[in-house]
Amino acid sequence: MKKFKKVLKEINFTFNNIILFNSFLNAFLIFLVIYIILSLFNFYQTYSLVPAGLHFIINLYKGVREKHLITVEKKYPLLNERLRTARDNIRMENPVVDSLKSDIMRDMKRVEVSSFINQKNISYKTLLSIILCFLIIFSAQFDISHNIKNAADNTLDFIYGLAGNNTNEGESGLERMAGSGATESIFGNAQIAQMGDENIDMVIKQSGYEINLDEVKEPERREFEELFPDEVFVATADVYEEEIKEEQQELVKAYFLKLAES
Amino acid sequence: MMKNKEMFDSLYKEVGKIVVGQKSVVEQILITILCDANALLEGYPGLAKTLAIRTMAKLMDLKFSRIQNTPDLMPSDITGTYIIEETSGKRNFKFQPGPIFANIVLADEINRATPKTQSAMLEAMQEKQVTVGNKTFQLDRPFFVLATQNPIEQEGTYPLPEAQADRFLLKIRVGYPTYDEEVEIVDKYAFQSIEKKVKLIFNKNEIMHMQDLVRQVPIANDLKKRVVSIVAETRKNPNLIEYGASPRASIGLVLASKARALVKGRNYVSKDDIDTMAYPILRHRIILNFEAERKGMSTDDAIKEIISKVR
Repeated sequence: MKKFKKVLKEINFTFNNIILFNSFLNAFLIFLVIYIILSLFNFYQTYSLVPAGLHFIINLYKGVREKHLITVEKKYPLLNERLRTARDNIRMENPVVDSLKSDIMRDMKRVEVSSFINQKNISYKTLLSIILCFLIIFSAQFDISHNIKNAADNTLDFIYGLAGNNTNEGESGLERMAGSGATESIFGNAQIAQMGDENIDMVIKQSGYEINLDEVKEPERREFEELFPDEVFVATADVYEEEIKEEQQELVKAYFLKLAES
Repeated sequence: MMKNKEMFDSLYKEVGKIVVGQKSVVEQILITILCDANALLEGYPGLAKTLAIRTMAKLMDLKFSRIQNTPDLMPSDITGTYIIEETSGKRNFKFQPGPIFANIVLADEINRATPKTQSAMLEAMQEKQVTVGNKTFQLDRPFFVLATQNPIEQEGTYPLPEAQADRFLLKIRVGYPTYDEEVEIVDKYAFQSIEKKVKLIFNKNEIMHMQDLVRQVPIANDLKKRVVSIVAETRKNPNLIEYGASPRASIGLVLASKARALVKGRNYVSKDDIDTMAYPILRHRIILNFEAERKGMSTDDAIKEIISKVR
């Protein structure tokens, strides 16, 4: 009985190892693919760990819950129904059950672990993961993400050129695409950026959150005139009371009192 | 296991010397014997029901007796009765055992006996003992009743009540032989009159040992559940079956499947054993409803449908 228990344990152990390896390989592939995609767009590459990790956990959970004995029976029809029967009657000891267990142990010698491993599939996956690893190294070496951005800009410039659109100097293709023709409507009236009579030279860039250190300059020191411009002064509203003559003030007061009473 | 298989194979071979074809019938009779149970054979006259049973009794070195059931047969004709015996001037009551005191009892056309006689026999089947007067007699082991009934000529018969039919483990349907088999039968019995001798294959102890082995054959849990599902399904189909099988059918199906596995030389029960044995186990335990009968369905058709429903 102990020997048979050992056989069952070995089957489970071997299958769990195979499942663990397959899950890891699949998760690694997913990680690499997503990592490459995120690096191309210069997004947080570490996020690729999330789907890979999730896939690994789900795959492992599913695999461990699978009935390994049925898998063995399917692969080896010789053991069909016998393995399950012996497993279910593992505590039973009688000549028939014992003969079943010894038959199984004899036939299990024909079972090869390699028959449960899809070597072709694993080879392809391993090869693919190697290729993806090299791709990641090369993309980092040649700054492919930056080059892709430039290439995209150039392509868009070219397309705009073909379409006959005016191109503004200093505005990249992507920027143009993001804000083409709608700058004013999006950012509002330019007069808001007016201070007094003077227009403030202010540019809001539609896209691109990167700061080019070359463009950053010391703030310009401006001398403001001591007197405020005319427009700033507010003429006080004339109060009608001040225009009432002194002798008539009593009359006006009486008038308002009468009004209040009524 | 292989030794047992060889013995069963030689039994088939020996039966084959006398009975042409009917291998499935012989196998099911053997399963009944291995399960220490009783079987009901149903078939038209002249299909070698009696011959098959008699031959098997000879092969197993078992005491065989035959009861031809008729409406005037009394229970005491089966069980036996007390007779007055005179020894040295003294008169004593002595028990004269009836034909039930045998190992294999062939109750021919059981449906022709009155319910009173039928129940006397069925009690013996169930309890393996007979009570005459105020004394109980144990029947010799192994003990099997193999009853036959004729599906035609139902006039003046007393069909077995369902509760009593349930006591038979299997209802074996005996069919007609194939054309070639019939030619062989004609060759064998129309031109020769010599009674062929058969070899002894099992003795009583071996049979009882194998009966013990049957109960030891392991069955997987999912197959056990399948058995219960099949039997339970007979109770869940009111559109097909009026009365389903009882849990006794589940026990019988597991046991019969184990015996079949042993007969086939296997040390485990397979799905095929269960599906095959479901027919003779359930055949007499389910009653079709009017709608199913109107459609011309047989109990075997209903069982087939039930098996296909259970995965």
